[in-house]
Amino acid sequence: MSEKPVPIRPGMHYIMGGIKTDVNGETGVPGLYAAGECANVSVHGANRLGANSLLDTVVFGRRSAEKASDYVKSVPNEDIPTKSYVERDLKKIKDIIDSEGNLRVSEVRNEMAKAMTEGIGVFRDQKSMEYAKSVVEKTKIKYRDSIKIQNKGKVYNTDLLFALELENMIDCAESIVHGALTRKESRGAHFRTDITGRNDNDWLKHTLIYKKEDGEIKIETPDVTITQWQPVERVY
Amino acid sequence: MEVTLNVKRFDPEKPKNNTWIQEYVMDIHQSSTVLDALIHVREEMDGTLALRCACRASICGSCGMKVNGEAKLVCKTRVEELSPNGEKLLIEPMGNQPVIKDLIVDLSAFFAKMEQISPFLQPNKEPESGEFIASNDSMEKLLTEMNCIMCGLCVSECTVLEVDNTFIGPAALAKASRFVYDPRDDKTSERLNCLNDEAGGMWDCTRCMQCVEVCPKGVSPMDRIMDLRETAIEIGAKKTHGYHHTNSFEKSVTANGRLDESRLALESAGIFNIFRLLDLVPVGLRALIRGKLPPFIPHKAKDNKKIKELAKAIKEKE
Repeated sequence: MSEKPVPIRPGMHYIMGGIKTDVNGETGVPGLYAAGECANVSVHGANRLGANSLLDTVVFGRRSAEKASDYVKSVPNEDIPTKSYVERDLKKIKDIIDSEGNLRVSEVRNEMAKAMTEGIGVFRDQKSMEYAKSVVEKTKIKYRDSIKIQNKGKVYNTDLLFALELENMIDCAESIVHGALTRKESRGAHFRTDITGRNDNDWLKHTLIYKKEDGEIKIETPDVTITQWQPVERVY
Repeated sequence: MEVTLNVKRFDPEKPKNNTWIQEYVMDIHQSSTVLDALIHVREEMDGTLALRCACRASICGSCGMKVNGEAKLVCKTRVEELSPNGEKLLIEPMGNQPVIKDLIVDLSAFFAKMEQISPFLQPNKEPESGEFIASNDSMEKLLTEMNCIMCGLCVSECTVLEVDNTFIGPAALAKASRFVYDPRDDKTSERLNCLNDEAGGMWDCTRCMQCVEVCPKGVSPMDRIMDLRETAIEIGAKKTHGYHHTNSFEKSVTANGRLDESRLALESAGIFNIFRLLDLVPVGLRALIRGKLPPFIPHKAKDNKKIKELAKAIKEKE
């Protein structure tokens, strides 16, 4: 083994962005809490350092759970009209199972993944990011019109699961390309070869991406609130 | 390189012929793992194949299954090693657990047993200053136990679970040792008394070593079980057939230099335990008929004295 070449390439390790929460796991949606890697409490900045994702679980996981539990106790115990939501989701699943496209989910996903790695991987520039964005746009259309799944069963249907996952992946990829294209500097893991410097004058900012009901993207860049700890460059 | 996988399939939704072996032939990279090959099947050949996997780097413990009859993490198993000349590989779900679909087994019994050992620290005092500090040294001693990724390979291969699914099993026992030997935990004797349970407790392990063989993380569950047994005896939790068995073993070897099997059988059962002794009668009769009944007056080893000296030396050392 040691005498043969070992194939090595960079891999995704951690998502630094996520659903925006406050220090109690509260999102902008009342009653919806997020914790862990899906959440963004903004404790990591642009580069999460080793072992620091423990904060997401040990500290903010606990805080969100406590807050969520308090919230549940504070609201009246009403019957929530779930029927229409269940019907909507069942229809969505049926549509995927009945879809008659000619592309496997893995094929569509891998195409997007390849473009994301190439265009917005370790190093990126305006052109590469725009390329990634264009592939994500195409993927959306392919996902809507051309996928098919082979497994029609109801038990542990990972074929269906991966189709549902891909829909969420497209949302994430879209947020990533929009966020990256908005930020006209290099910072942490966002390493642009066309704008290499960090620019604290203009870019001590968060990037918030919203998606409206009609699919339109809205981007906001609120200032970062700095209190006790001044941001410093990682020098090791 | 070309590889042929023979995958054991199971589809609970099929009314009949729901179990079959399906062959997949494909071209893969020389460095591919068995998991890479299975993912290739799922993504490019057959979307109906169900398997579990996540990290692909032997840290999450999701992709346990049998390859050529032996439980393995398939992400840690290279195709080339098992099939250097294109030999077909047989892929089956793990053993001792019900199959949900294809290569996916139901892990609920596995986790129920984990829960049974209360897998969390239980100190009986408040920390002096905010938190309990464990010394580096004490944590380093627990590294082996803490390595467990709960993949279930040891449970899949456990020869006791194969015949008695009430056995708590190697994974949960190894996890129990992680808490018994943690200096911050104060429930040591409660834990050991619980593990001493005659029905499915730690004395049911037959020391077959299968779990040690297949553990991908070097946890050696059987060794952890032996540690627990020793500690249980040390703290005086001795009301078990297992303890009497061990004790009788020691006594007879010390006294005669060899094992006195008649005495071992009687003392393990407990000489006042009429019901347990009655259980032994048919076994004894069968042994008698076949001329295998051990002698009532035990043979003594020739170098008995040396063994006694050894036993004495060990006692003194302790």
